[in-house]
Amino acid sequence: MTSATSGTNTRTTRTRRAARIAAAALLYAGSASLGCNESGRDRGDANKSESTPAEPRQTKLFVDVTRRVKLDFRSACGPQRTYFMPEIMGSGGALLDYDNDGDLDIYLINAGHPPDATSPPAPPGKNRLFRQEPDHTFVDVTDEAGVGDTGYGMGVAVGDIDNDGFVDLYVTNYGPNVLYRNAGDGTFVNITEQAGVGDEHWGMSAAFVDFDMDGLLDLFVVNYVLLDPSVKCFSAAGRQDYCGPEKFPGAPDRLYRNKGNGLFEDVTAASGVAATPGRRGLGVNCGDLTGDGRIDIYVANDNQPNQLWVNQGDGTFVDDALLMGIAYDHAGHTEASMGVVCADLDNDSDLDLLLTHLRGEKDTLYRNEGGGFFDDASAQAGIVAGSMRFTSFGVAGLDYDQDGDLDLAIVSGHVFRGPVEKGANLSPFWNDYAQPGRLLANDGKGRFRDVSDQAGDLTRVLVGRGLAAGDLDGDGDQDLLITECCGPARVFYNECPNPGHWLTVRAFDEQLKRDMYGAVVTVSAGGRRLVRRVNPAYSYLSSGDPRAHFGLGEAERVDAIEVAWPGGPLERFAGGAADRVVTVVRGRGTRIRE
Amino acid sequence: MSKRGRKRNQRDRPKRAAARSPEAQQSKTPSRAVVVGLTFAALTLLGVAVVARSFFGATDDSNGVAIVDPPDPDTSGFERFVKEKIRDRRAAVVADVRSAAAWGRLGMVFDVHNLVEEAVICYARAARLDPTDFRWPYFQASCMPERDPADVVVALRRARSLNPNYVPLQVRLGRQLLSLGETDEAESHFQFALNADPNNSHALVGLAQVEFERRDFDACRARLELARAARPEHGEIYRLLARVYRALNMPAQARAAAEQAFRLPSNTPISDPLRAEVRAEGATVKQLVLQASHLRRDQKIDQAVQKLRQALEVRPDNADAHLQLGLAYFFDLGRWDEGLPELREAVRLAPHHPHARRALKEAEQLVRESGSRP
Repeated sequence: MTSATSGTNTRTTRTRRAARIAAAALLYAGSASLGCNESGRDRGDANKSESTPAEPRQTKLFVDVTRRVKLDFRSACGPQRTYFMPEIMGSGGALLDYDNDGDLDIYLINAGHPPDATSPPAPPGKNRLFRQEPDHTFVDVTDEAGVGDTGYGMGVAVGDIDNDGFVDLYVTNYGPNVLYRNAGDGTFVNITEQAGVGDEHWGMSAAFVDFDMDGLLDLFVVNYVLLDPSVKCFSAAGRQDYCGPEKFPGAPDRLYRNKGNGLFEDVTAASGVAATPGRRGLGVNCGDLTGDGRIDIYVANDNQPNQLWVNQGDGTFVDDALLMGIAYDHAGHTEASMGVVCADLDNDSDLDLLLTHLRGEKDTLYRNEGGGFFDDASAQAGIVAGSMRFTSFGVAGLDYDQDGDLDLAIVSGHVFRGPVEKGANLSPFWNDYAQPGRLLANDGKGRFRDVSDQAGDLTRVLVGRGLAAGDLDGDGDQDLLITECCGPARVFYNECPNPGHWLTVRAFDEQLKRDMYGAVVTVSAGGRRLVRRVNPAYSYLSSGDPRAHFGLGEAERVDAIEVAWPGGPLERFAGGAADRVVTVVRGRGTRIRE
Repeated sequence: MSKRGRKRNQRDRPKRAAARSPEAQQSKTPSRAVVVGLTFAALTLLGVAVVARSFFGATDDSNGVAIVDPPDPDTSGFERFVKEKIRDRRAAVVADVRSAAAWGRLGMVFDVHNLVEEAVICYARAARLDPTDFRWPYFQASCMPERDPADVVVALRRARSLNPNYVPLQVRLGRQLLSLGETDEAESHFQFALNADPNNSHALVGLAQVEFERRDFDACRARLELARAARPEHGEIYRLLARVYRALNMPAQARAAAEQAFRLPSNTPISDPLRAEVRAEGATVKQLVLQASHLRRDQKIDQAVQKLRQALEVRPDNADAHLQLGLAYFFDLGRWDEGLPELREAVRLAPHHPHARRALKEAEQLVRESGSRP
């Protein structure tokens, strides 16, 4: 059984959208191709002949609406030239529906000032929660919600730890981490101490994952290095700059098992995750990469071998990344891995991996060859040449044009001084670190083409770090939340002029009262089977929309929806019309496999 | 000759040419139309020349290579010796702008201090001035890791056409091609390197990667086992070997290879004497200390001490420089009175520096056991 979820605003938007699509269909009658790039060019040609021949309209796929939606946040930092290493690593943000009103709210992590900073005197950075209003503007509700942690903030994970139907927040810090339990009345309670999850290492990305399938979300925390802030670092020419990770030993990651009642147990050692020393972790993504039905944990490490903690099904893990071909690149070298996406990037129904890296290294696509074997297929994916000059962090696999494959949105910014990019318009200091964002379009088979020239404000030159995707304005397509070092958080609406049809699926368990992280959703439409995963924890320091979004291309109807519930059956649900949000409830579909 | 002087000469040339042919001017009285036509043509040519000049810079008469000023990067914040070295090498270029060697040596200084854009410009200029020297395109290719690998391949191919016998070049070219998925051509370069140096573990690993791509796991395994025998400390061998063993359903061997892979450094450097020349141009404290360490290893102690003294001039608080100096004096030269204070200073500056602590402990123990003299 499926239930359509649609508010008034969504309906209005949808009506407008339908009219727009119809008009576009008339305008481009006879053209079989769908997609923003082609249509953008077509539209430009059409305009050229009718109105402004000298100025064809430029396609601008993503539009910065930060001011329009009144998202007023700027990450604290500085003073400049203290070169406090956590500053250059940035801080992230989350898209979440904390009040269950059906739209996405935003939680933003604030960095801060170096511990020994005395000048200029400034209040510590405070994390902020913004509630989305019906008119899609955001209101700062931090103080009334009680989530304004003032630690030196880094990342955030979102999940309902107590199955009460309201998502909770875990914040990683340079310093003790914080767990906020959502009380369900618009307020949160800091339960870090009683929960036992206040790890004091330098935390980066974190993910909620029910690794033992007991119905309670457990927690994996990626830690970076054991920083000695007194160490000064210099460029190859002797100019002071931020330190790289190689100066410091890695900090150990943490795995916490949820015991219920808001209590967690540190099972890092018992689970085997402590078997290897800290490897300077930055990103994390959880999914079944071995195909055995259990959720594994992939950790992106900075110039250290990446790890895949393969779930053994008995509460323990073994790192098999090397044997599976996802620890080192094709040449057997480590890369400085930052952000990570785990999704079906070549439409063959299994999970691939995409990692972002340091300048001088490529983005890397590890293609799943089946049977637990992966290949570094970056060259075949066409992503090598275009990525070498970028130091990239946040990354999302999203179908921005809704043509049925996952494209890539990526934000970048140097960690050491680099050449100043054309269009850099930050302070002279930060211009040395700023880089433009990128948008790569998938051809449906896992080969990507850089379409950044049409990406609009996504290509703004900034020191990009966090990135999360989700449908912020309720119009069905995927918008972006971006965070930067010492800068504002930004919202970019997806304004793709002629997108395909879409379906958003919320995979829900009524007994557990929460989204089923780890569920694999397959939609059959237009003769294709598209596979997406319910997983908000990806990218870098960030958390995205937990619902599975499908671009359907020209298909106006969905034939069927199948959901492989984590640890449970495979169920089939009825399809129906496209262009809507559906909620599929565990146990209400037709079981097609136990 | 200065740039301005050359411009003046070029401007003067038409006048001198006209002065050489007065008879021609007197022998015929051209019609008004011809004069107008010639004037128009001359002006057109002048215009074309001005436009071309604005695009391509001034042109040297002798070999058609554009004359430009050497890069002049902002060196504020750079260490003293780096600034001085850049200044001196720039001056050498300005003094002889047609010297490929001067441009190349300036490029090397930029290169080692990670001024990549500037280095690329200098190497390209050197390569145009002396198209027979393979070092310049080779250095150009080696110093631009953030460029499109296809561009790097072009530069490496140019270098290879000049000197196909330099093995590190062949290995690098093979690697770049492999990163682009060009396995067939990559294979030929690895094979060439292997023919020249049968125990070259990088070439062996490269060929094994080609075989792995082709799913020829048996050949890949044999190749890697050969590489392991040739150079057991080469970590990349074990990383691929673990995957091959797994593909061949040899789980125990796969695990053993994986464990060994993790114990070894993540990147095994290619032995490359030419790139070592570039590294030797480094002038920061860090680089001086590193060079001193290599000089000590090569028993060139006096030169090492000189480098370390230079380093401490710039950063007297550099624990690594004090440590290396202490090691050189105390252990290499037996000058305990000078070595012990340096080691103590290193530990004072970096109390948790494991190498400094160990060296000081050993030194003090030797002093205790042997009296105050070695």
